[in-house]
Amino acid sequence: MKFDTEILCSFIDGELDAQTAQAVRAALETDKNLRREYEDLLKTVQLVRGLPRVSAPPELAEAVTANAQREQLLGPTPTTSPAKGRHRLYWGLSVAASLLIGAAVGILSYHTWQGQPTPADVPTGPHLVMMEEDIDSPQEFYAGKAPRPALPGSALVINGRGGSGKAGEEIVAATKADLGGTLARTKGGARIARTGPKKGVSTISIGQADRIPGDGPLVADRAAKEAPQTGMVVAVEKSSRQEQLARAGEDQQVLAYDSIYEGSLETRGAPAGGVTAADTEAYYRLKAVRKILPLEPQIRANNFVNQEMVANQRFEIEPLNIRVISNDTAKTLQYVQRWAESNSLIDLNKASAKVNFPAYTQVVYQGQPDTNIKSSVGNGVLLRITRSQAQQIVTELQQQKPLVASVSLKDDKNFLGYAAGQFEIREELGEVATHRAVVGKAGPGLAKQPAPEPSQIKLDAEMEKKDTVGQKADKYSPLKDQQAQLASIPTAKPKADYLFQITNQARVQSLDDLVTLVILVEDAKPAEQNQTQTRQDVPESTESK
Amino acid sequence: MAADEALASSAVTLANGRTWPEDDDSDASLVQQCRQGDLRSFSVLVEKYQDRLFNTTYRLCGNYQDACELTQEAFLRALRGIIGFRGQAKFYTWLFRIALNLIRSHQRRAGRRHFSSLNEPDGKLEIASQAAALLDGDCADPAQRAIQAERNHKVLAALGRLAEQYRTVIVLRDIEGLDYEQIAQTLGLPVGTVKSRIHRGRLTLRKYLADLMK
Repeated sequence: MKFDTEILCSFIDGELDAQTAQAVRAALETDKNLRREYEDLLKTVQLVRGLPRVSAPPELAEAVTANAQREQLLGPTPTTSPAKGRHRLYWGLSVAASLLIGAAVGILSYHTWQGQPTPADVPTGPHLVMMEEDIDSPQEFYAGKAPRPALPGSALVINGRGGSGKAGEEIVAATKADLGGTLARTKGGARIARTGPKKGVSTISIGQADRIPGDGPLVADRAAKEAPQTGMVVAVEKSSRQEQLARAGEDQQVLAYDSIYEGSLETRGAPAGGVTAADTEAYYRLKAVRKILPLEPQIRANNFVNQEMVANQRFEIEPLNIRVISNDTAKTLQYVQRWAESNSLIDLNKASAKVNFPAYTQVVYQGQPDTNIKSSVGNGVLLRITRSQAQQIVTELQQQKPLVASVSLKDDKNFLGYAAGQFEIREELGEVATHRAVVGKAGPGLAKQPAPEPSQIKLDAEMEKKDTVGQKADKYSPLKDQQAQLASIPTAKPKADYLFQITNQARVQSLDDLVTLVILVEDAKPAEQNQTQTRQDVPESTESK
Repeated sequence: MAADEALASSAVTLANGRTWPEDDDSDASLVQQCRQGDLRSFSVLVEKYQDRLFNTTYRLCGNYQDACELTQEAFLRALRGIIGFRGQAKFYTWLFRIALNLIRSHQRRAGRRHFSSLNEPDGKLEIASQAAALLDGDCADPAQRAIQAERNHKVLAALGRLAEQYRTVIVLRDIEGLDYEQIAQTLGLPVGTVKSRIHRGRLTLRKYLADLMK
């Protein structure tokens, strides 16, 4: 008797009658092909059944109950799809707390949600402001497209052009006019604007979170730093580009990347009692792990990062910068790439493109806001490399005259770029330290928002002054800010054999020998003004650490 | 064959040998109390079934936030409609049908966008499960933990790529643990169609997961 795969599926599911099942068993003993089909199907089933079970978030039941109670008081809420009504759960969460202290406060919170100002006696604390659509004008902002932050300490992270550019400025100006405050500003690089206090709102931070995946937390951090008395700030992030890609189905890995953030603490809002340092740390560490795991093993190895390193918080690879002034950038890049290949090094840009994961190679250079991979591929090569190899390529490049006009090698600890590798993770772990400090300082559950201190106004003025200095001062650089905190993070020394295992390069003896090398190739004949500037910046002689 | 037969006979056995909470007689009395306006009874039902419903909803819609919303909405709709619930089906079956209708409506509105997120489970899932294993060491070997996490990731990605009709029956069978008859009743389909879809879905999954078959 011949059996097909449909019968095998039913057999695996225990859906066959005893007689047929026995016949299948007998056939499996003798028919090798059938046995192979069966084993493959069985393995498939096992893989699906082996998926971890996901528990409902602890606040779900509370939210359901709170909403049920609210419906008893106010009647059913019009149903919305999750995509349009994602605030419901969080609304439910905020109401849940309110209902515990009485239906009256719950009703008050309902009005708050509808956009009305919140009296000062409404409980303060972490508050989520959620946006589903891009906001590109003050009119949209005030038309209710974005829920208005109503509680002290709120952070509004605007997607679209909200945080920078003309529309962003208009939004901030309108917000300032409406809510008052000592300062409203936009910063193209940092995408932060502030305003307040008026109408019970002490500080609103408006930031744009869609340019760099992951900068929502940075915006939130910045807001928290600027208003430490408000406790934790909760932000929302949506990576528009990734979502668009997701819709187009262009890149599976980008979806993976994006979803890291979808489930983040930021989008979920703060748990009852506030976001703790442990929550935040878990989130960032997890984010780091999730970012690495889906990548190809070779890429992971090349990044010298894996879960054990994450667990040990060990990402001390120095960034190095080689700047090459070239008379033919294309040829120079080809030369560098060939050199890398001949030394069995992987250009991370190319390797990432190979695995179709453009977000992975997103590189942002200080002073060149929002440069993404498409442009950075054009003028740079990103390598994981040893110091001696870095020096070697410098020497060889210097010999390539007249193709190469000059070469410089220097440690660049202010390098703000990252490529979703250990450098970024290091920054994220820096964020952990920052969150720790912020949460530790402010603590959850501060009952009331104090009036702004004169010192706060002074700070505003200082920050405004910085705005006029230039973008460099505005760039948010957690790495720069958090050296001391990073130093306080206990590290575990990786084992030598472990290093060997992850790098597959016996010549790498320790992490200290590794660097992150960015080779930037620049045109030797830019516009005259830029040329002058470039030559001032780049010494003729090489320098190395 | 012993292990195979164990699997074959495990019609409702779930991952790690755990089982879902089942409908029982206590549900009927809780439902009755709910119908009389007792929200505490409703809360008991929510507590009892929230994990099961959420897990399945999440696997079907693929987006953690949406799963939260849909699960919550399913419970609320159940509460609103509990007056009309006659007890002809078990409470969870009824609740699950509500959720399934919501998921389908949501799918129609959202197109493939939200389902594509199945390619990668959201962060909270991993916080709850894989991250704990990865970072905090309930598995002795870090390499094994990483391998397991990657394997799960690939399975979820494959599941996310399945057409909705196949994903639904696979989730109901292999994650929710329903047998063919129950799936047919839940979806309002003939058993033969369920069987065929499970078969086609698994063949497609097998193709997607070819590199894990080695």
